[in-house]
Amino acid sequence: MAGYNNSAAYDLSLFEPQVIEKPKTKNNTAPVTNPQKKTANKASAKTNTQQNKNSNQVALSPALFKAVMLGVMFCLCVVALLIMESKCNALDKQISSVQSELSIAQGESVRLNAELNGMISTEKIENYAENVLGMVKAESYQISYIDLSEGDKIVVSGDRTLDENGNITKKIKELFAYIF
Amino acid sequence: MARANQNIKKRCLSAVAILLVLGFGMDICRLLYFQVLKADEYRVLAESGQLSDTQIPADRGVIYDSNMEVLAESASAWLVYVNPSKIKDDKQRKVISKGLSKLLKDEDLDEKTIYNKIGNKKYGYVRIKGKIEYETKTAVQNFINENDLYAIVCIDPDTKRYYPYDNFASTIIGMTNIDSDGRVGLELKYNDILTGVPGRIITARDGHSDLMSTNYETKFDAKQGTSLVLTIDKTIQHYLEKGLSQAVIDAEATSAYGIVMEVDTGAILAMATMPDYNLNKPWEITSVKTLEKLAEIKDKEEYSRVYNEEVYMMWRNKAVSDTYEPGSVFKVFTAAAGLEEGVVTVDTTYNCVGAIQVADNRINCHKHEGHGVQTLEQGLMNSCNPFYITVGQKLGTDKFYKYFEAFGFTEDTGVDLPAEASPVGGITYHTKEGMGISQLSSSAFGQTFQVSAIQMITAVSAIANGGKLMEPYVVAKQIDQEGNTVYEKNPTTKRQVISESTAQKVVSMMESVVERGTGKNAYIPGYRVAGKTGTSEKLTVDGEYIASFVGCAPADDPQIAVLIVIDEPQVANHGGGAIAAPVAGSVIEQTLKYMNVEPVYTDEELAKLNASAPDVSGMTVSAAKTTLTNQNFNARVVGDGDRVISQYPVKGSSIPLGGVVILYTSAENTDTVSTVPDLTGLSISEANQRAVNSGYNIKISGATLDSEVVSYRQSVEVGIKAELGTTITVYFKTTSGVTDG
Repeated sequence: MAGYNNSAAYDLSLFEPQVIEKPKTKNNTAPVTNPQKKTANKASAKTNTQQNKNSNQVALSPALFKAVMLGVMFCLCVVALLIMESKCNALDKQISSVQSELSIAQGESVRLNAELNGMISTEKIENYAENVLGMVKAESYQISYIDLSEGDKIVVSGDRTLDENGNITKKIKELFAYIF
Repeated sequence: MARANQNIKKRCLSAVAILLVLGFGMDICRLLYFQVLKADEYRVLAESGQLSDTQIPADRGVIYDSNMEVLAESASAWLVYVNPSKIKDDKQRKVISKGLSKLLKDEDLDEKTIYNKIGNKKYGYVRIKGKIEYETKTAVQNFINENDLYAIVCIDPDTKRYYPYDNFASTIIGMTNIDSDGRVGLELKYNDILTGVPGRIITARDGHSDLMSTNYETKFDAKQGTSLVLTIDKTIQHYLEKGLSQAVIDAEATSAYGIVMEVDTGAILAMATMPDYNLNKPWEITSVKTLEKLAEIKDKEEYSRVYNEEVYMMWRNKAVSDTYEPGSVFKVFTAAAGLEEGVVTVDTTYNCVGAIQVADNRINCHKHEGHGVQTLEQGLMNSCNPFYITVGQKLGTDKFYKYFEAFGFTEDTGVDLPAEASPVGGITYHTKEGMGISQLSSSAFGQTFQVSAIQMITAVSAIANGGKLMEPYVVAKQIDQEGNTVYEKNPTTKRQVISESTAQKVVSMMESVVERGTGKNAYIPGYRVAGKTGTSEKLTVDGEYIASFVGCAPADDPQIAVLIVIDEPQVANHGGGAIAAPVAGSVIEQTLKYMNVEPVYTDEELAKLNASAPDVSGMTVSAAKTTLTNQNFNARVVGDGDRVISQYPVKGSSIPLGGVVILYTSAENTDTVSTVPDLTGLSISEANQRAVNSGYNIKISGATLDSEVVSYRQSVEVGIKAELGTTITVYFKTTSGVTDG
């Protein structure tokens, strides 16, 4: 597992049964992996087992915590990835659906515009105006042009105009007279 | 013994080893064959099984008129197809054919047709109908869902071309086939440019060959084709089409075609052929004459053959693809060549005695008693054949041919429309080598050779613009999807054919033709129109004629040239001056008004013009009558009140001098409509009087300077109930002095 641990992102060996070497004490120097062979002294063995349990609890606690945490983090990552993937899928579908709707709407717009333009073609309007409404086209000589070359003038009352060179007081008086 | 056993063991092992080597060796060789030698082939096979590749059709580019009005546009549509190999049984086949025939609503797709189409189980794809719209597609989709027809009846993306104005500019725009490829017109000519780049949807298939979810899908969007902006102006095109349609009816002609060109650039503002066709229903024959002809054919095969011929004929842009005998219109070019070469002047005189002897032939003038002594200008006004034969003979073959060639009658114009009629020396025209005195003489007055309408208008534009022969064109620019200009056409001058002073002299002569000659039906008050009429006997059909008119305006500064050709008119007076000139006049008048070219009226013209109705509402009836009478108007009182409550036409409306104003004297007028009388076949004063008597006003249109004009058409139909005081436009033309030959 050591080799595997070197290249893997997670140390899965942490989830396997732990092989913990017995602390080097005077009474018991044998490794904990072979407790069955220590049958000579049952009491001693019992005491050792108890001691081992206590020592394991002390030794595994931080490692187990780390492992659990890593496991939780791993699970969270997996769940997050799944959620993201699901959201992406949903968004992809939404985009695809909206694009499809847009394409349909654009197609309908073109079709309706074509229909509308066909209904209000110059030919149809002209026929309706001339034959139904009895309208005739304006002749050029009927058009009167307005000469604006002298600039705008403001009419404040009746036929009188506000002259740019006039007295300002007089203009104000005229304005008030017009209003009241 | 042990040794023998060992030998046997060795042999067995060797045999096994050989077998293993041979077996694995063959496998390895086979693997090499599949993985290396046939790798590409099997990869494609595997991919085709694992992947679904659907093409997304690209929208074709839009076609706009010169004012960016859409004339043709594509949009998404759908295509329905059936996979017969997956149809379970005959019952399902019947359900499919019945359902689709009901939903697709197509005359050519009845239940039986679809049933037969989807009968062959060897096929995996049978197209039923393309270019279906959203509503139909939804109905088909529901049908598939309801009947569990997944993977049997399928819907694919497609595109549909929309032509908003149906028949409008049909022979120029053209249309596409079911595969969205251009078939005729600009759609064909610019097919490569208009066609976009198709997109693709590549989707993975599962073990059952069903499409997997969109996660396994890769989409490449389609790219729309380049759009075209035409030189065609929708309004001018409408004027031309309206004029030509009326001409076909009035002259009982087989067809009529025409072109309006901007003389300085060669840009075609309008081009039409009548009868035309509906771009949205290109297989539907529109000509009543043709439909009658088809109705008489009983044999199916013969019907099919004639029908196809007629459809192709209907799609034909005659203004570009057909040639015709120009007749007297060509005298304009003979005059230009004669003046340019100095063999004649405007004041050169000739005595026409009604005929001229050319080699062994006696060629008559259309006026058999002769025109007498006349100048070159008068000769053109009278369209005198012997005079222009003489001009041609004075020029001689070399010089005549030089100008015939220079005006572009021996070459393609290069217009960007498909199927331009190419001139062929010795067939459509006389080559220099084959031009003897007879050919020269007949060519000089426009007979025995043919030109296309596009050649003719380009050549006339060269005279109108001061002598420059331009290359005609229809597409002004090309724009991409974002509206950026990717190509813009610059006017191309081919060559200077005649000098500016010669061109001016010829235009001036042509103006006289319209003022006092055979072209007076093209006269427009306020505008100086120059033109020439032509009538010629068809070389290909005995006893049939071609009537034409070509002109430009305003004569003092020509901006547009107009050509009208009427093919096989059946009316008694079938001359260009009688039937083509009024159409040209109407088109020129409307076009110049639309282009804001201000008319300048002479005193004589002003005297005949319409006037504005005075305001008499509120006056007593007697005062109103007096006011109207003083201003040369008539009054007609409706109701028995003392005071005028309202009037029609309202103040400022245009009515002719001597017209009628209806005075309403009571609020509850019942007698406000009348029946429109027949105002055709009358002189101006007679038409006005008849209209006034019926309570209507007329607006005079057409040749108004001539004293012998006769009305030939009215804007409001006879017998229609119309409001009293309505203005009816009455069109006049003269039949006197418009004959040419």
